[in-house]
Parts: sequence; C-alpha cells; structure tokens
Amino acid sequence: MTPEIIGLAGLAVLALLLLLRMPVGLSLILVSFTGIYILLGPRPAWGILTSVPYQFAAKWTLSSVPMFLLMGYVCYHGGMTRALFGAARAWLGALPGGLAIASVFGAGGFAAVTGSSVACAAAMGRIAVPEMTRAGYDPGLATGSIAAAGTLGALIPPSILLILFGIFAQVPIGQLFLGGIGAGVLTAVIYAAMIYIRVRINPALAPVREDPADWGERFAHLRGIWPVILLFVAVIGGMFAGLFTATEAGAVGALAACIIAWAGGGLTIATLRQSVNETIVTTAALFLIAIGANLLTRFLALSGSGELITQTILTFGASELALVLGIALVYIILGMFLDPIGAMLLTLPVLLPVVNEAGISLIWFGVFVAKFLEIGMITPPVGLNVFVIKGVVDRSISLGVIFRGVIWFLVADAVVVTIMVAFPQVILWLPSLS
Amino acid sequence: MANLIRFDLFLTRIAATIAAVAVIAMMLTVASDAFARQVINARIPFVSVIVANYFMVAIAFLPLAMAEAQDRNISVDLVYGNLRPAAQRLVGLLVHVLAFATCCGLTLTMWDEAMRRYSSGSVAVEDGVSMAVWQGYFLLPAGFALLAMTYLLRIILGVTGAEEARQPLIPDISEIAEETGQ
Repeated sequence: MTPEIIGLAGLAVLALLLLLRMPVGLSLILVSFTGIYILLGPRPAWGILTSVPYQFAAKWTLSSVPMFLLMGYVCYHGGMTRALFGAARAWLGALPGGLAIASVFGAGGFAAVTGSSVACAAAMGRIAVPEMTRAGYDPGLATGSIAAAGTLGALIPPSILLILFGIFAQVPIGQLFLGGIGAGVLTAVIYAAMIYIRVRINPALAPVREDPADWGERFAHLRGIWPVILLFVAVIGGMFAGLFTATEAGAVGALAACIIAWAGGGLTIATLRQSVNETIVTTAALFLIAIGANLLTRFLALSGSGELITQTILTFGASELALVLGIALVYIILGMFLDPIGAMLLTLPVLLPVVNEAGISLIWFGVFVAKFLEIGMITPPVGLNVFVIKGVVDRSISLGVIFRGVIWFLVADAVVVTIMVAFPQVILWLPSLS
Repeated sequence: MANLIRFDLFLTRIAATIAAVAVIAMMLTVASDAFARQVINARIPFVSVIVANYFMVAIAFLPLAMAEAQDRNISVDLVYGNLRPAAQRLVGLLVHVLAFATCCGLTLTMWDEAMRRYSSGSVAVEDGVSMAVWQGYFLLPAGFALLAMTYLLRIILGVTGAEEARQPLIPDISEIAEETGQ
C-alpha cells in the first residue's frame, strides 16, 4: 500500500467515525495517530502525539479565543441586546418590515461584541420575535430574519471563526477582522433590502407600520447603546490604534464587558458562572478539534495524500472560479451537518494548500469560508441557528415555518456571495487601508 | 452506579473549577499587563509564559470531561440520529470504547512527557531569567484521564443498559439559563 493510499484510506475511516457520531476531535487524533503509526512506525507516531497537544495549546496568541468567547457570553447574559433592538427600532421601525430590518441591524450591533452567531441569534430572538409576533408579522419572516441575522455574529469582528482561521492559515487576525466588517455590513444591507422589497410587494407579511420616532427619541435611544459602542470602540479601536494586540484585545474586552454589565446590573455571580462555564467548555471542545486538525495536517503531509488531493483539485478546477465554487459546495454540505468551527478545522488541512497554490488571497478566503459556514447555520437539516430560534420562540411556530422563512435569506446570501466573488474589493478594501 | 456517576462528576467539577479560575486569572493578568504597558510603560514579568504554559493549558485540557459530561463535544448526527434504538446503543458503545482507548493512549503518553519534563526541570526563559514550566505538563494527562474516566463510565452504563450512557450527565447550563429567562 503506497503512503498516498494510506492517507486517503485514513480520510475514509475518518468520515466513517464521524458518521458514527464519534467526537470530531478524538476522531481526528485517532485516525492521524494510527496513520502516522502505519507510515513511520511507533516511535515517530508517539513522538508527534506527545508533542502536538501541548505545543498547540500553550500559545500566547491563542488566548484571544477564550477571552473573546468570555466577552461574548458576558454580553449575552448581561442583557446588552435590548437597548440595541430599541435603538434600531427607533431609527428603522417606520420602514416596511421595519421591525425585521431593525432586528437585522440590532443583531449586527450585537455581533460587534460577540464572536458567536448562536449567541447573537438567541439574544436577539428572545427580544425581537415576540415584538414582531405582537405586530402581526408573518412567523416565517419574524423568525427567519433573526436566524439569518444571527450569522452576522461570526462575520463582524470579533469572530472566533476568523481568529481560528487566522491562526491556522497564519494570516493577521486584524486584517481578517477588517475583511469581516465588509462581509458583515454587505450581508446586513442585502438582508434589509430583501425584507423591504418583500414587504413592499406583499404588505400582509408585516401589516403594522410603526409611527416614525421623532429625532429626539432616536438620539435618546442611541444613548442607551453606549455600552456596546464603548466596548466595540475599546476593543476593535484599541487594536487598530496599536494600543494593544489582538491577543490582549480579547482580555481587555472581556474585562470591560464584565465591568459594563456589572454597572448596568446585568452581571451577577450566577451569570458570571454561566459565562465562564460556557467559555471553558467551548474552548476545550474547540481546542480538541484544533489539535486533531493539526495532527491530520501532519498525517496528510507525511503520506503525500495532501499534495495528491491538492494537485487533483487544481487539475479539475482549472479556473479560480471553478475552484471557489467547488469549495463553496463542500462548505455548504458540511455546514448542513457540522458545527461551523469543526467543519472549518476539519477541512483547512486539505484546502489551505490548494488555495495557497491557486494564489487566492487568504484574507478573502477566510471571510469567504466564514460566510459559507454561517450559511450552513441556517440550512436544513442541521441549521443550528434555526434550532436556537425554535428554542426561544412560541412553541406554536414549527421548525418548518422557520426554515421556510429562512429560504428568502438564503436567496439574499446567494446575492451576497456573488458580490463577494465578483467584487473581492468588498472584503479586501478595508484590510488594504491598514 | 449512582455513586460512580457522582464520583466522576465530582472530579470533573473540580477540574472545571480550576479551569474557570484560570480564565478569570488570565483575563485579569493580560488586561493588567496591557494597561501597565500603556500607562506606566512596564510589563508584568513572565506574563506570556504564565498565560501560555499554565492558564491556556488548564483552560484547554481540564474542562474536557466537563464538555463530555454536558455532551458539548462536537459530533455529527447525520446517520446516528436515524438509527434504530438497538443500533444506537451498539454504535454508542463502540464509539465510547474507541474514545476511551484514544484517551487512555493520550493520558499515558502525556504522563510520560510530564514525568520527562519534571525530571529535566523544564523551564521557559524570558530576558535571560528562567521560570519552571514543567508543572503545566501534568494538566494534560489529568484532563485526558478524566475524559477517559467519563467514557469508561459511559461504557459501563451502556453495558448495563442505562439510559444515561448516551445522555448528558450534567444538564447544559445554557439551557438552564434559557429556562430561567436569561
């Protein structure tokens, strides 16, 4: 058996273990270790297994992952979303479908302080869906808009997806964050435009239009969102002003979030405990996968199958566009069944060399991958954001209704992705300025 | 059996509590260092060494068993969810045996490495001053041993036909938060 065949057989066994519901991290470790053992013998295999977990986790730069997670969870449990929705409602509520549009921009605001789309969807869903239901909005529009808007959480910085991509692909995280802003704003605008057009065509979707708020009321609402603005400016502004590094920004943001939430009465011992527990459990689960992905990268490199896959893909995907579309298809399918970060870490060992070889910008690719993985968060059968919304809304709204409501946002996402591919400057313009 | 679960969860909670303390300590240490650098142009000595070799290692490995107990380890439900209950039990048992074996291998090799680092007195050097870091290496076998123990518990529960074998041993704390309206 040639080394390349051993590598490909390893990938097949990996797929089998994943289908049997073996945890992704342990599957990656088991397959990679066994593969290296067969290829090189016991000593190198045990040597690699011994060194990788510590070397991977004991990194100063990686500390931004638990810190940004903590910041997001504290903001979530600290209840910073209500004021965001209120402000967006005061400014946009009078538009056709104004509450849904306000929800999209409210979620965009919350995305600026959290790196997780699930937290973003859950936080906004609890507040905005009941408001839209009361106003007689179509349940599909009400729930679909929140499920889809939640995906902004992983695009607008800070984004855990982009941090991990940056670490794996060795791309500056600050540049990825700037690229994420372009994709996030574009997504929010296209979502809002789609809601506006749909409600203009069929006013029954959102029968009640809010009375326009006067300017005094609008600015009064803006004062209510100072904690979020302060946090965003402190963290992202501080990072780009050179006051602190991306690694330090996470810790400064988490501490600032704790202080702001405590000052606003949103942080208690119980909510801090919840936030910390979710932070450590999520970090451990993610790092186990990241360590497994690191081992898989070595296994594929040692077997030569990684190179084989790269060359095969490049031969078939003659044009850059065909390659990008092929990768998009892979992520849409994986995103349907897998947690986005798991899907990303699982595939990067294979795809990064291909993308590098094809000369595609890694900043653009990182944001592109994040966008596609987030589309997976709202596509059936396993759309995590849809499940989260189902968990926080009235029981009478079925999963089918939410998925049907999301379809329109998938159409909007197709427009967003087309713009991202046709005009990469949308993503690359801001990073080019820094 | 209930005592066995209680004992496993007791150790799991202790490990998770240490990791939780590490998260808070890391936040305070890194933020203080960033402020100190800006305000008084000074740095906390060994901050990057402590964060990387103690806090990060504790946060990454000690909560592994807690993640498993809460069923938060990421996995794919595509085929498993559609299997018949008997097949689910069998597949669940097989997966737990494989996971247990993997964790045992990781525990043993990490323990050997920790002992090697302890014997050699592994240190990190910053500005010509050294600091012992071998202690952090013991957190890896501790985390993986606890995870192995949780899988062993699931195997025993699975063999005896207990329902808990494939369910969270600790309810997901975020679900509790949702129920209380957070």
